[in-house]
This record gives sequence, structure tokens and C-alpha cells, in this order.
Amino acid sequence: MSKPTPHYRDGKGKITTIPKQGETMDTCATISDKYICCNVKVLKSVANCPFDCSYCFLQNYLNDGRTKVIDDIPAIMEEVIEKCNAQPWRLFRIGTWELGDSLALETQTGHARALIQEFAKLPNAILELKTKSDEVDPILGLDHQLKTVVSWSLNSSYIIDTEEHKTASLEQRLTAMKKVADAGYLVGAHFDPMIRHDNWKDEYEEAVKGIFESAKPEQFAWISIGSMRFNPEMQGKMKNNFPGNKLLFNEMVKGDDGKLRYVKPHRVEMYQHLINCLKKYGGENLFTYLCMERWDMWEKLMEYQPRSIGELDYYFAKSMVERYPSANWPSPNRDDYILYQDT
Amino acid sequence: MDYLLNNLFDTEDNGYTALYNSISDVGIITPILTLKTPSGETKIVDGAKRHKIALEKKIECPTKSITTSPDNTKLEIKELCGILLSSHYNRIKSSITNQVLFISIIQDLNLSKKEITTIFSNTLDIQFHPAVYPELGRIARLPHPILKFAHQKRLSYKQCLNLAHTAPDCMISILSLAPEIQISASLAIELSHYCHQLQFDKITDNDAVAKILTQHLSPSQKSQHIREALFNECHPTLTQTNAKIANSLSDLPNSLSSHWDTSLENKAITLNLKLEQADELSACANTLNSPVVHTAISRALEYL
Repeated sequence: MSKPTPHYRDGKGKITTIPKQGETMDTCATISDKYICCNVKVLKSVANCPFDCSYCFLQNYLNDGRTKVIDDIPAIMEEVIEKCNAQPWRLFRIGTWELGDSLALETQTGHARALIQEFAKLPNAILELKTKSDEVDPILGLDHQLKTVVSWSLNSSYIIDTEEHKTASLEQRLTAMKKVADAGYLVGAHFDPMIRHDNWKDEYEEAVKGIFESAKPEQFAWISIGSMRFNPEMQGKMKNNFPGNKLLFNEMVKGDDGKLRYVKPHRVEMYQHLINCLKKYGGENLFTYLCMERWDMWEKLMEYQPRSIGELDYYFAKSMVERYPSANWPSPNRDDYILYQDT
Repeated sequence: MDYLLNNLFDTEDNGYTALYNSISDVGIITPILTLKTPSGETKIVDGAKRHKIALEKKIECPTKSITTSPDNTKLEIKELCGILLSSHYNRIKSSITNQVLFISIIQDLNLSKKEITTIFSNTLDIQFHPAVYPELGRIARLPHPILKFAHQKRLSYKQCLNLAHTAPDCMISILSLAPEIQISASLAIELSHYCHQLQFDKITDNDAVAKILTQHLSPSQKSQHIREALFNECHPTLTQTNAKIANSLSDLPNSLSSHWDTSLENKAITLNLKLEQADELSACANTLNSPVVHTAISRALEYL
């Protein structure tokens, strides 16, 4: 064929601003009633990411390659405020990482700065900025009112160096985490996707140790644990986009959501190790949760066992309200969270 | 002289014999159409069979030539596509493989995705979303044995694309096992993934597969055994854990049969109770409550 085939990476370098069309705030797309999901809400304000992680679903999801940013924070906030006001009893967690990175483009867009200041005024919402970057300087001096959690997607150094291309190194992420913790922000850590590799136990332990050298345990709003998972179609994309990649040489099975994931005995081993490390370096009072796992995994591994998406959402709110009373969030009612879990 | 649509697969009945007889009687009446491409090659646009018969019978072959160059108008190119489509409608329509190959040929004539989409949706009533165009080249470039398989099995676009994401040499080695084993598209793709995971270039490099191929089994049995053997090699932990569960449940009485999700993703064991007489029910209740059954189920659930 004479015409060159556009590559999915082509659109990573240039930002296209677009107007807000339709709803921007939604529930995290991976939510599934087969799993205990956390019911986090997302603002789909950015699509595509300058980073190039080999396991990233965007290579199989985006079909126009551009990096699109909705350039209308007032309109986005209007929708957020309307939805938060409709359920004043609820503590919303709202992330901006659904189809991109929350901070990687901050110097160009200024989105996070604007959102942090808007969320500081909301009585029942927490903004989560999740990143693999170290682009935190633009947000350090803001009056966040404890309403923003800056979190990092973290991995072993080996995985960051070999699979999370163009992202900040583990050391850079931890240095950035220290900066935002020192600036009084709550922080978060997402050990997701955990990936098996040589020496994985020691490397993940090092990463866990590192986060508690960057922030005190009580500054962690939440810590999540999950393992690598992807749609079967991704195998072809990964082979094509990352020739010779070894991630596919693992023992995986298809889950109820149709995604391939490590076999359960391996997941249990990985999660148990990470939980032990978290307890060893961060103590017993962390709020830790599993991402995209069934009830029986919680029963095996966790000290609390939510039986529904709404109940886990409630545990989040309870933990935040009890640990950070100065934020004046509404006291949660378990029944409300369960009854309205689909809203 | 090459035929522009040389790569497309023929339909089962391509009318060659009837045409041969007709030309033998009255000669070639309609001239064949040739195209001079921008690269200077002359290709037959329409009339490959007539050309072949003329060569064979050593008779004159009237020819009408079209020249295409960078200066060609879109209209001329669209007219050319119209000729191709009307002359080869059934052949192009016969499989997704042929449609993809046809698109790859007309893309070389510098038509935009939108123009190609219009031609296809208007003439063939086929809709390709513009987003799939980048992937069509991948399918069109597949080695001939894989394309032939895709055409013969009338695979869907998605199946063709899945084939295109497998290692070609390995896929050819899998397809070459037919008719010794029964191969569907999904099985071929599955086996290819196992070979990739086990890092075999060809499926016959695997000892278990080579051994199964020597056994006296039906093609479908061989397919099944090969699939199981490779699955087990790719899933050692799963295989061992399922063996432990099976071992735990082997203590159950014969009246109870058990099932579980062998992917281990769902923690549950289903028990089926076989009753032939109503008065067996109370004995069965005792069986279900027995320590042997309780221990067996508990141990099995631990592994899940």
C-alpha cells in the first residue's frame, strides 16, 4: 500500500483542544458487578497520554491518535457541581486519569491547577490526580483545602524502566511525592499493575519502602493493589508495538470481565507480599484496597470484606471522614452507599 | 503481463470452462482492459481469463489501454474502480479477504479513505469504519497460505485481524497441519498464542504436538489433544491446582459429581446428586452431611 499507516503513537506529541460535548463525569469504565470495584468517578477531560507503557489499553482503545484536552474547566465544573449537589450525603472521589495522565501535560494545560482550586470549594468531593510523572511544581503552592489527593501509579524499578516508557523513574516519582506531601496534600499510591519478573519481591518491597520515606503513613488517603490485566486483543497490539516484549509470556487466564490476568495463585502471592510490605513499612492503619478482584480475594487477603461496590465506596468515605475530620466531609451512611451504588 | 487483481482469490466457479468454449467458437469479442500504473507497469484490469485463453490458444487478444498517472483525475480513477467492481462483483464480495485485498489495490491508486468508503458502501453495501483502514494493510500483507485459509473459511474482519496479529511462520505451520487436524480460525489463533508463549517458532517444534500427530486419532481428536497439551504447558500452576482440587474431591461418594471453574476465577464447587429412587434421598442427605464430604469440599475450596 502506498499510503503510510498512521501509528498510534503519532498523536502523543501534540495537544488538540476540544470543547466539552455531552457528559464528562462518569463512573470508572472498568466497573463490573462481577468484581468489588471502588466506584470512583472520572472526568474524561483528556484522551491520550505522552507516556508509552507497553501494557496500556489506550493502544487498543483510541482510534484517532490525537491527544485531546477539553479546554473548558467552567463547563466541566458546572457538571461536577450539579452531580455532587444532587447527592449531598455522598463523598465523591473524582479522578482525571481515565484516558490519560492527570499531571503529565500540566505545564501545557494548567488543568490540574484550575481543578484543585475549584474542588477546594466543594463540600463533598475529592479530586484525585493520578500520574506517572513528576510534574508537581505547578500545583505546590495552591490552597487545596485537603480536597485533592495526588496519587502515583507505582511499580518496581525494573517495570518502570522496561515497560513504562517515557515516564518518570521510581526515584523521580517518590521525590515528587515528597514535594506534594510536604505541601500538605494527601497522597495516594497505586501498585497497579503489579507484574511478575525476576526479583519482583525485593523490587516491590523497595518501592513500598520508598513511599513511606516520601510521606508519612497518615498522609496516604488510600493505597490500591492490582495486577496486570488486558483484553485479549491487546496481545496483538503489544506484540506489534513492543516487539520482543516478555509480558505475554506469563500464565494468564480470562476473567469474568473478558480480560486476561495472572492465574489466581500468582495474584494471591503477589498481593500478599505487597500487603505484608505495606504493614511492615507503613503500619496497620492504612486504607488499602484491591482493584478489580472478586469477593473471595478480599476474604483471603484483606482485613475488611466489602460485599458490594457500594459497600467499598462507603468504606472509602468512612475512612476519609474519620481520618481527616478537618475537611468536614458528610458522615457516611452505609445503607445509602449500597442503595445508590449504581448512580 | 500481471493481472491487477491477481492476489484476489477466485470463487469456486469462475466460469473458465464456459468462457474457453465460447472463445473457441467466436473468438474474443470484448477487448481486455489494461492499465499503465504510475510506476510504469502494465496490468490487466479486466479480462485476465480472456488473456490467458488467448495466450493458450495463440489467438489475437483485443486490448483497450487506460493510462493512470499522478495527473489522473479522481473521476477517472473512480470510473476504473467502477469497472473493476462491476466485472468482479461476485469475486470481491465473496469474502472479507478479497474485499481487503481489493481495497489495498485501489488504495494504491491514491483514493482517500472517504472515497473508498463511498465506493464500497454504495456498490457493495459493505461498511468499513474509517478507523479500520490502518489495519487493512496488515491483513493484505499476510502470507498467501494464511490469506487462502481466511478466504476459504470466509473469516470475518475481526478474525482476519486476529490472524494478522499472530506470528506468520508459526501460523503457516499450524495451518499446514490440516487436514491431519481439524482447524478453525479460533483454534488456529489460540494455538498460535500458545506457541508464542512457549516461544516455539513452529507448532511442530513442540514435542507433545509431534507425538500427538503420530497417534491414531481422528482429526478432531488430534485438535483437541494438541489444544489441551499446549494449554497445560502454558498453564502449569493452573494445571497443578486443578489436579489438587480433583484429588481432594476424589473422596466424594459415587452418587455425587462435582464441577468447578477450572480457570479458578470463581470460588464455588457445584455438586450434582444422582438419585434413582425417592427413598434414596434421606441416605443422600446423610452422605452430604458426612465428615468425608465436608473435608473434601473444604480442601477443594481452599485451593480456589
